[in-house]
Amino acid sequence: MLEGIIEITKENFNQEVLRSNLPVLVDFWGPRCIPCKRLMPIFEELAADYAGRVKFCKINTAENRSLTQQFNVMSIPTLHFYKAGTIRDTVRGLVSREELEERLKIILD
Amino acid sequence: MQPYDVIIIGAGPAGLTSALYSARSKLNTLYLENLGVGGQVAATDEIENYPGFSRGINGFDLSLQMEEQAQRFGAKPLLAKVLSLELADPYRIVKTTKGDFISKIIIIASGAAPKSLNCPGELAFRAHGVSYCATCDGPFYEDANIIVVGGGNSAVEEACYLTKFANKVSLVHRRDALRATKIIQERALTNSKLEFIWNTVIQEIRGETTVNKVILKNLQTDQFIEMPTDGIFIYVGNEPNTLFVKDLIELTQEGYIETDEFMRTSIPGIYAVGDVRHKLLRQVVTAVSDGAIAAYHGEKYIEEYFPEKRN
Repeated sequence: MLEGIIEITKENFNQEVLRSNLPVLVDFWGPRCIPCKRLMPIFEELAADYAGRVKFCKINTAENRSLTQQFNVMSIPTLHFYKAGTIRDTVRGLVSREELEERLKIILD
Repeated sequence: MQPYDVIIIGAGPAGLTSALYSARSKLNTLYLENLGVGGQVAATDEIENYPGFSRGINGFDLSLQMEEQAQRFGAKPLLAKVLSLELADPYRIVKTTKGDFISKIIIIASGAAPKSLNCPGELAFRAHGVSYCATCDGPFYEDANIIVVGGGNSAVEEACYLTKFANKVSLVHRRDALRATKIIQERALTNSKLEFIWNTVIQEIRGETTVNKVILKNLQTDQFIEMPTDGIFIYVGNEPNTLFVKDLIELTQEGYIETDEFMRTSIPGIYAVGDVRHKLLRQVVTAVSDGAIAAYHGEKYIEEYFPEKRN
């Protein structure tokens, strides 16, 4: 795992995501999901560029069934954009860096 | 700005092979990718017909190997979306979301993307019961009843894959026979969890928060049938990613790029390789062949049109 990207489980979800002081981008992924793997370099690039402004988190759906079901994730990759503990936007499927940056503006405002 | 010798658009097998051949010929090579390395092959769980891998190889792993090989000889990657191409003779310009780049030649390897059904409900239930990737979303359909749409290799292979998770998979196909190759058909036809619904299309996808049924239309009787389902996976072919060159380069009616046997497009110094070009067989093995030919011919083109300028 790249430095600066936080691995989320149900143990640290509340602390890292809901109670975060920074806006949070959560990536639901899975080990067999190739679009998820293709999204990773884009996610890592953004994590480096937005360090200190947005917190980047990943949830492995294969190991976190209850979180995956709780958020009704039925397709990965799914990205949730959090601000002050609530989901402000959702992206599903493999998208470009530019599209993610457009959505990041929503939680940075 | 220092011009590149070769700029390649797309990092699937065709583009990465062009990158490998160009870089290995000591050409200053940049390859651009919008969505991370791999192309469509990356979505293939196991490729059984790429020579040299007798036990099969995962599509994404193969792409990573190709990328590593291209980079070993100095090809440089950049994550960027290409907006358009322009001519500034003798150079070619690639306009991207990360700025403009100048090159002696351009090789287009932008591939193709899955087609939509374009039926009511498809967009509304996307990621809520409508999926285009079995290896991604299959595990979310444990013991479910699933529909797969299509009759080609992808549809049939993925339908078989989904029987690992699902209670039952129904393959809906608009013809009365599969287009998939024989070995894949045999596996499907002997799979007890798989049923076939022939001569039928999806009229509409319905549900509440997630998909719970589809309306099927039998093309022979014109009858509509309602069928309960937990999810629908769509594999009805591909369309080429050529929007960014549609006003510059000659395309077929379906939008594929016309090339000759040297992979030249209608514009000198611009080549097209892999799934994006009009061709008979779209496979990894033909994509890499295209990639090598374009890079080889491109090198000759550079020697001819930029005799003194070789970096």
